[in-house]
Amino acid sequence: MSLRAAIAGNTPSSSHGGVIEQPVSHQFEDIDQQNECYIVGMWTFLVTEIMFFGAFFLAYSLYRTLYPATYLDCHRFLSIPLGATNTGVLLLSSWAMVMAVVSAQHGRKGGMIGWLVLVLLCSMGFLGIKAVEYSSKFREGLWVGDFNYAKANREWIKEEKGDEGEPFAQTPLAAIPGAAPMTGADTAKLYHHEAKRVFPYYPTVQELAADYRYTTPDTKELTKTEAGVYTSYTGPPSAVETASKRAQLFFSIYFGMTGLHALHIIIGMMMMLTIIGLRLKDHPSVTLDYMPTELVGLYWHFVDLVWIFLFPLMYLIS
Amino acid sequence: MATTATASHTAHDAHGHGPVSRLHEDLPHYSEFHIKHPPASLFHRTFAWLLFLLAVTVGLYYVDLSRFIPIIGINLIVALIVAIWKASLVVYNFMNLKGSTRLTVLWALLGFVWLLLMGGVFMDYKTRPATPGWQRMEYPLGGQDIEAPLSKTAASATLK
Repeated sequence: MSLRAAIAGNTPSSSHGGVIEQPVSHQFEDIDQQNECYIVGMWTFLVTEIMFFGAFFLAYSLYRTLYPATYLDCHRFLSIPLGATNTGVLLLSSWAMVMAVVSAQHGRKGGMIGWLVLVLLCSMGFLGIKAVEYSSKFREGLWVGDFNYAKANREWIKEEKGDEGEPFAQTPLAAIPGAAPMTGADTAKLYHHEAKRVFPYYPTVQELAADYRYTTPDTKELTKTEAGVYTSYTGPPSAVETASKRAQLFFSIYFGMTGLHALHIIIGMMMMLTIIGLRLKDHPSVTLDYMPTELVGLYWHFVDLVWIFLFPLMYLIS
Repeated sequence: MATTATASHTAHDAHGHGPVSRLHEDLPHYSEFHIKHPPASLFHRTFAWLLFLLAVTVGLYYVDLSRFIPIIGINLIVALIVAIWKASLVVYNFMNLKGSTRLTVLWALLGFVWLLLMGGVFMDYKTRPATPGWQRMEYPLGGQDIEAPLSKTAASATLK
C-alpha cells in the first residue's frame, strides 16, 4: 500500500489540525483518490460478505415462514440475558474501534493501542459468553450432530419449572390409570393435551393439518375431523418427531449463523493483533497512514452489523 | 477521475500530484472526493443511542404489541425497524458513510440492493406448491389410510 511512498522519504507531520499527513503512493493522483480507492475496495469485500450472510438470512426467513411455531418453540432454549450482554459488548467494541481510528488519524500511539486492546478484550468477552451458551446447548442435547429434543425439553422444564416434568415422548400415558380402553379420539386429545403441557409451543391440530396440505391434494377430509387428522396422520410419536426434526432445523440455522459470525470475530481479532503489533513496532504502514486501522474498523463494524440483526431474529421471537 | 485516462501520459510531480488533480482543485465540487471525518463526540452520541436502542429491542420482546396494533407479526416488524435503525447508525456514523465520497455510498448501497434481489428468490417459494419430498417422511401413513385404527399406530407402541 503506501509503504513504498513512506520509505521514499515522506515523514508524518501535523499540518492539518493535528491529523497525520498520509503519504501518497505513486499510482494515485492525490491522497483523496488513494483513500477513496482503499475504502471502496474494502466495501467491495463487504458487499460479498453481505451476500454470504444474506443466503443464511434467506434460509432463516424461509423456514421461519414455513414453521413459525417451531421458531417460537425453540427460541426459549436461548438465553436472552446472555444474548443482550453480547450485543452490548459488541456495540462497545464498535465504539472503541472508531475511537482507535480517531487516534490513528491524529497519530496518537497510546490511544490507538489502548482502544484496540479494548476491542480485543470485548471480542474475547463475546467469544467467552458464546462458549458458555454453546456448551449449555451441547449439554442439553441441542447440538446438531447429537440432537435430542426430549432431553432438551427435560432440561428446560427442570430449569424453568423446577420439577422433573415427565417427558412426553417416553411415558405419555403411563401415569394415567386405566388409560388403555380409550377411543382413538380420546387418546388423541389426551396426547395433544400432554404435548401442549410439555411442549408449550407445540403445533396445533390446524397447523399440522396445514402442513399436511403439502403431502396430499385431498385437504377437505383432513381439516374436517380433528381427531382423525391427529391419530391417523400425525399420531403422537411422529408428531413429536416432527417437532424434533424442525427444532433440529432451527438449531442448524442457529449454529450455522452464529458460528459463522464467531469465525468472523476470530478473524477480526487476528487483524486487530496485527495492527497492534505493527503499531508497537512503529511500522510506517500504520504510523504514517491511518487507513489500515480504518479498513479493519470497517470490517469490525460489519461484524457488529450482522449481530445487530441476529440478536432479535434468534433470541427475541415472540 | 474520469479524465485520468486522458492524462495518463503526463508525469507526476514530486508530491504525487499530477496536472489532473490540480484541475480538480479548480472545480467547485472538488470536495466531493474528500473524505470528511466527524468529531469524536458524534461517536459517543451514536454509542449512547445504540445502547438505548438495544434496551428498546429487549424491552419490546416483553410487550405484546398486537394488543395495541392489530397487525400479525407487529412485534417482528417493530423489532426489525429498530434493528435497521441501529444498523443505519452504525453504517452512517461508525463506518463513516456520512463523510464518504459518492462512489463509496453507491458501493455500500449495492450490497443492500443484493438483499432485495434475494427477496425475489424468496417469492419463488411462495408461488409454487412444495412437492412431497422429505416432508412425507413426517407422516408415515402417507395420507392413504385416514381411518387407520389407533392400535396399529401410536398407542400400542407407547403403552407397552
